[in-house]
Amino acid sequence: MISMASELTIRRVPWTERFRPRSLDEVILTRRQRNQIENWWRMWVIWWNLRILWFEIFSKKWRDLLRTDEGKSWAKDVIPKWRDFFSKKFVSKFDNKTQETIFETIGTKTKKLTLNLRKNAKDKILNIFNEMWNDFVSYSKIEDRGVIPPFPPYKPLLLIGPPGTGKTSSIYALAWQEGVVVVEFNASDKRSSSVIKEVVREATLNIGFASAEALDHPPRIILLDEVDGLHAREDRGGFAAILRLINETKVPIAFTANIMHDRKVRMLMIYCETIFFDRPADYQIEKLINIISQKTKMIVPDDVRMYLKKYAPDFRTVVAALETYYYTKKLPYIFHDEMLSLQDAIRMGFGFKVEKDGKIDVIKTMERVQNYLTSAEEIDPFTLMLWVWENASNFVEKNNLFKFYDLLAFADYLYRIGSRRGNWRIAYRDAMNYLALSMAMYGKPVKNVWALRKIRVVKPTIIEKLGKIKQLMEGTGETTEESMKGLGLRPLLEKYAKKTHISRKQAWYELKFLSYLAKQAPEKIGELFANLYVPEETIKLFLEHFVKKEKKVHSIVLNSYREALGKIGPKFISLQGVETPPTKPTPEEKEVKKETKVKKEEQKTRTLDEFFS
Amino acid sequence: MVAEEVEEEVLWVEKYRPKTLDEIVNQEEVVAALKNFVKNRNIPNMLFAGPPGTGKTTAALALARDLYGDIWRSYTLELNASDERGIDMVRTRLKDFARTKVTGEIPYKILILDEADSMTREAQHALRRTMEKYADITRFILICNYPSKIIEPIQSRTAVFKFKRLSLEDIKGRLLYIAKNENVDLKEDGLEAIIEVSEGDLRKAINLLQSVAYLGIPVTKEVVYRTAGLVYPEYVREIILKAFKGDFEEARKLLIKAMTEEGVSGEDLLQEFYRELTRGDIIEVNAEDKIKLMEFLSELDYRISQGATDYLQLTALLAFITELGLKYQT
Repeated sequence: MISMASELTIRRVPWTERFRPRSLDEVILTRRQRNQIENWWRMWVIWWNLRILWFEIFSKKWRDLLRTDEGKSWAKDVIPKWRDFFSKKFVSKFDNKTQETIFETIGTKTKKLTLNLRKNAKDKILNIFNEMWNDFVSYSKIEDRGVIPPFPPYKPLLLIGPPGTGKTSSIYALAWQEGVVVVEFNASDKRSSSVIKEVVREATLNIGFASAEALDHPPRIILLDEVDGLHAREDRGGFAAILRLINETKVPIAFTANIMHDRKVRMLMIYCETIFFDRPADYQIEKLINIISQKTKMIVPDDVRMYLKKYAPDFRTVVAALETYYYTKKLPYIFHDEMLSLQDAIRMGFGFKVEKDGKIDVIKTMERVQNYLTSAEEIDPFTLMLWVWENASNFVEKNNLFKFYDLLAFADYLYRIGSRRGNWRIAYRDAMNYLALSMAMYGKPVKNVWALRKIRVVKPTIIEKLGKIKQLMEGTGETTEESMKGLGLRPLLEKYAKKTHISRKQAWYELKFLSYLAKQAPEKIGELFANLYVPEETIKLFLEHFVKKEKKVHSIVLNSYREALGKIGPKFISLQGVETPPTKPTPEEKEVKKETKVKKEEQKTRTLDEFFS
Repeated sequence: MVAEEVEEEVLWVEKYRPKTLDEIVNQEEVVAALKNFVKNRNIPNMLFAGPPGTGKTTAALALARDLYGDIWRSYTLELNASDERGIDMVRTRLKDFARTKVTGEIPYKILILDEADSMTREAQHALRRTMEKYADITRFILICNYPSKIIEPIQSRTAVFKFKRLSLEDIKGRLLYIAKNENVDLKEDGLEAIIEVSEGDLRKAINLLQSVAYLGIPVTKEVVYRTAGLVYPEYVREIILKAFKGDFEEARKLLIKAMTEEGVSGEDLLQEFYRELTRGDIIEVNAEDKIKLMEFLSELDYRISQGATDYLQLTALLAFITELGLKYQT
């Protein structure tokens, strides 16, 4: 009975948990990844021991020093320099060779390092630390007071890669193997600001470190999962808080992120030891299958292996699929609908083919493609078409390009016509059919669907770009009193069009001519704009867009504009329907105005005088 | 207004725009007719049609000037395509102008509607009533490139004048005159290059001459072509060539750039494509393929006019050209 019960409980734990690696050896990593992780950890162990040594030796002296005013001012001067120096030198001082003298090495040939400390390691660490301090003293020429100030933390670890490729597992495996606790914060299920506050509290606690126990190892690793999902719109200070955290932490921190393109992730990369994880390679999946089949004593047939190697996007999927296979002798359908991002849907849509008797079954494939496309995200057919349009050339052979785009263009036509006439059958069903058909028929068939994931799928930006040009031409319509920018180039276009008796649209084309003139004869253009009473804001916009980098041209145009405007005299510049303030007259203009007034008054007085005499 | 008279004209197009009908040297037949109207002090509603840069707007403005003298501006209203000209505009502003009476020697005023072919059909229909109702106090001059885009009721209510493409001699003469006045060292081959690039559009030719002249060096063929790199047909030609040579993705990027950075509309681009592809000197294909190409072009034109997404449709055209290129290169 007992054995039954235990079997049941084992059964209930999903395999992904049951087979979670317990040591770094069990994690499927490349040699490089493994080295990076181990090295990072060793540096932290050194750092941690150093910290304990510092407390034993210097902390009391340090506190005493800070009690005197003189000591305070000394510390104020030295601390930032020392922190800076320490951060730079710490890694090079404890390089691989030095590490060998600190950690036990097994086998002289391979020089494989374990993470256990040698007996006299602490002395060694302290020696190097003192050496660093001496270097610092002679380098920055400060007065040595026999006390070494506290030092900044070592770098956090940043693991970047798709879901299920072993990022979190690596951290847990490391912790397990080293006997430390992982404190995990999941960014996605809590409000980011509160998450960060908690992390900061956890990271700066002194628990477990002043006491005598567990002195050899840091007591915990903080794992901040999915940082790219963190601090979205709601928490603007989130990232600054993370940076502060990096500077103040007393325990090692590990971040994970799915994408590298995120701006914040890129920023983090500067401050962290970064390790990249990729979609698993065939041999890695094979290795995982072997591990699991050994542990469960399950025989995995070749076709199952092939299938998994071909289609499984990550390790987690492999484990889950094997679990299902173990209990049902059937492989699950690997591509769960909810798993597909829009990018993946497009990759699959192009690459996946249903084969029948060695030939591609177009109709079946098309149905499948439609499934992919519609299951990806809530998205309208047109946006889908744009995505497909933007990325097609990576998925379609050159000699099929026309046939493909012809179908795509036709799908677009159907969609437009259908939605315009309110015929949703045409707009949605028929258009989607043609879209799916175009992908099913002309997408390059791939042998290995997994390889599709290497193909970049980018977001179409044309709508944004067209919006920008429209904004530039017409303006956004929202004008504030201070700014003409909201009007875009409209004031210029309208005035130029009026002047030359052409339409605003034609004027838009001729702006290229004007920009050319601006480069050749900037004074003339400035004069022209003044004569047209184009507001200065608009001119600046024009220069920014059409002349771009040549700042010299900018200033000549604007100067001659101001000069000419001064000669003509300012006039209230208004646009049809949009009341806009005149450009602020420059000080010189004001003077010119005053002068003419004075002159007029002089003339008046003179004539009056003459009259009376 | 005052400033305008004092100011030295910066734009040559304006500076050398003929001020009176007498100064217009080409379009003899049209000008002769117009002169007669001025002489009799009476003009009908008119429709000027012709390719761009042939003097339609100039003729209309010169007519007004001849008719009213210096005060012509207060008797004329000039409306462009891009001034809002939906049906509302026709019903309000245009009507208001049309029905105000004027005093003076000549009892009517002139309303110039430039680029009338880009007005919607509804707006044109609304215009038709206004034209009839206020015929005694307002005369209309409609200007367009394609008379076929003007609804028939309006065509029948107007005297249609067709402006023909300017002769090479006329353009040459005008450009030489300007060059002489502005002290431009215009070489013979430079002149020819300007004419070649501007395709009979005098407006374009003068603009090009001005931008070349400001370089301050003798105007030769090479200089003109280098400057004209900015000119728009060249750009389309480059797209076509890129596609034909098989660099589809590059061609597509250029296309997007033309639309997103230069702001060219898809419809206009298609027209440019049409013009360049029918010239036949860019890509050489046999008659059969050429017919296929034309067929596809008109299909796309139709689709775009029906509201299909222009850049998607034009991409299909690029793919077509790429395929042609593949066929002819192997």
